[in-house]
Amino acid sequence: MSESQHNATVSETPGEPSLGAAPGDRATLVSELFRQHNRALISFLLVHLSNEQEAREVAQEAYVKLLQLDKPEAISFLRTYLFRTAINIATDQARRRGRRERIERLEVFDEWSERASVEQGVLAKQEVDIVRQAIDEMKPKCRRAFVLHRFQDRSIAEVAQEMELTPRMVRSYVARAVLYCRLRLDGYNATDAARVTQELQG
Amino acid sequence: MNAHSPDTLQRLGEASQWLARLRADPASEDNLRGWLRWCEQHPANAEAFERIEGLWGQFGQVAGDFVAVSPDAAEPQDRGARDQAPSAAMLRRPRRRLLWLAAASILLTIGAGVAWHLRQGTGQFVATEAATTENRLISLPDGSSLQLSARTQVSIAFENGERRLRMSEGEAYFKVQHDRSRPFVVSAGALAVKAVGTAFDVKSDSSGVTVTVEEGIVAVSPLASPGGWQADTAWEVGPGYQFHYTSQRGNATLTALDTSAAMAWREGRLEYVNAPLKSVIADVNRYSARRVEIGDSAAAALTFTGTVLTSSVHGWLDALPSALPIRIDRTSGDADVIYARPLNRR
Repeated sequence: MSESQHNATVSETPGEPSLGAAPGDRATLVSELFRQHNRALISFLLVHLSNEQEAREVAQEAYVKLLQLDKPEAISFLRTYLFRTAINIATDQARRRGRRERIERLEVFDEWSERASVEQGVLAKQEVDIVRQAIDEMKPKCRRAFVLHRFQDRSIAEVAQEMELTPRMVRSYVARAVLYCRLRLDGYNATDAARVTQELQG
Repeated sequence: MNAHSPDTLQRLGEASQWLARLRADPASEDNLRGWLRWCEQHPANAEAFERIEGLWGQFGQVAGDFVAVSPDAAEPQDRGARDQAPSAAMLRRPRRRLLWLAAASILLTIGAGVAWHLRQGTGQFVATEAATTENRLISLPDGSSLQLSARTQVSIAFENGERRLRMSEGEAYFKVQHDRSRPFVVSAGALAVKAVGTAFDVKSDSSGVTVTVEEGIVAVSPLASPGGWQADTAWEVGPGYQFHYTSQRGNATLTALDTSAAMAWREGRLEYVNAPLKSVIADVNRYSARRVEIGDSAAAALTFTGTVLTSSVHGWLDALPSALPIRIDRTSGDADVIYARPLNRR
C-alpha cells in the first residue's frame, strides 16, 4: 500500500491536527482559499459526486493536502492546485474511501457543520414528476445520450461510441438535456423550453 | 410563469455546457481554468452553475425510472405484446407506481451502476451489478422494481412465462407488478420466494434466509430439498409476517412483526434490538469500504440495540467502544478488528 506517503503529515492523533505544525502563513493561505473558493469547489465536485457530504469530504482531503505542500506559492497557483487535487481524489474513489477515517477534522472546516443540510437539495414530488416528464419530452437521441450518461454510468466517450456520434455531439446532447429540464422546472412549458434550448445550444 | 431574463438564460445555457465539458473530461486542466475564469466573471455565473449542477444531482431521484436498451437489440420471444416493447429506446415504469420510490429515494444516494444487456435470441434480461457500498434502485421492464442493499447482486431472467431473479447474499426489497400469468420468483440461498403482485423483502446470508412481507402474499418453498424439507412444501406468508429459514438446522419460523424495522435499510437505517454483534457487523460490512471483523468470541457474544446509519458506518464504528465493552484494532492492513475489552478498564 502507498498509504504511508499520503498519511505523512495527516495527524493520526485526535486533538493534534497537523495544522499547528505547518507554517502559519500556509494555514492562513489555505483558510483564505477555503473562504473564497469553497463554495465553487463543492459545486465543482458535485459535477462528479452524488452527494454534498461526499463532496465536502473530498474537499477537506484536498485542503489537507494543500497544507502539506512544500512550497505554497501565489494563491492563484494554489487555487488551481486545490481544484485539481480535489478532482483527482474524487475520481480515485477506492483510495479515498479506504482512507476516510484517518483524516482528522481541522479547525478551518468547522463552519461546514453549519452549512445547509443535504436534504434541501431534494426535489418535491411534483418536481420529480416534471423532471420525469421533461426527460420523456426530449428528442430520442438527446434522451438516449442523456440517460446512458447520467443513469447508466457510461462516460461521454462510451456513449459516443455506442451511439456512433462524436463526443462533442454527446456533450451537446447532455448540455441540452440538463438545460431543458432546468427550464421546465423553472416553469417554462414544453414549447418554450424547447425553443430556448434550441436558441442557446444550437 | 416568470420567464428568465435573456442574461439568466444565457448563463444557464453556458453553465450546462460547462457541466457537460467537465463531465466529458474531468482531468482537463484547460477545462478547469476556463470554468474558474467563467465563474469569476460574474457571481451570477457561479449561481447559474449551482442551479445546473444541483439539478444534475437531483436527477438521482429519477435514476431508477429510466433504462436505455440498445435500439437494435432483439425483442425477447416470450414477452407479451402489451408490455412496453424492449426494442424501444427507453423503458419506463408506469408512473403511478413511483410514489414509494420517490419517498424512498430522498435519503439515498442512488447509484446508476446498472448495466442492462439484452441477450439476443435468448429472451433474457440480465442485470449485472457492480458490488458497491450503496443502496440502488432498479426498475424492471415489466414495471416491477427492486431496491438492492449494498453489495447485493441480482441476476434477472424473464423467460418461459416466468420472471426469475436470483440474488446473492445481501438484502433486497421487491415491489412486484401484478401479472397472474407470469409469476415472479426470487431465489435466495436455499429458498424460492414466489409472488404474483406484492411487496416483500429478502435477506440472505450464510446463516439463512429471511423473507418479510409488506403487502400481498408470497409462497416460500425450498429450491432443492434442504434440511429434510419435503420438496413440495410451500409456506404462504402474508403481510406483516416474517419467515425465517435457518440453514444450519434446516428449520423455519414464522413471526408476526412490525415490518418497518426490517424495511428501514431502504431509508438508510439499520435497526436492531438485542441483535448479535456478529450479524450487525455482517450487515455493516456491506456498507463499509473497509472490512470490519470480530476478533474474539467474547466480542461475538455481545448484543447491540440501536440504529446504524448506512451513510456513516465509519462514524458508528468509531462510537461503538463508548456503547459496548470493546476496542477496535485498526493496525491491520486488511480490516478493523473488534476485540472485547474487560469491563473494569477503558
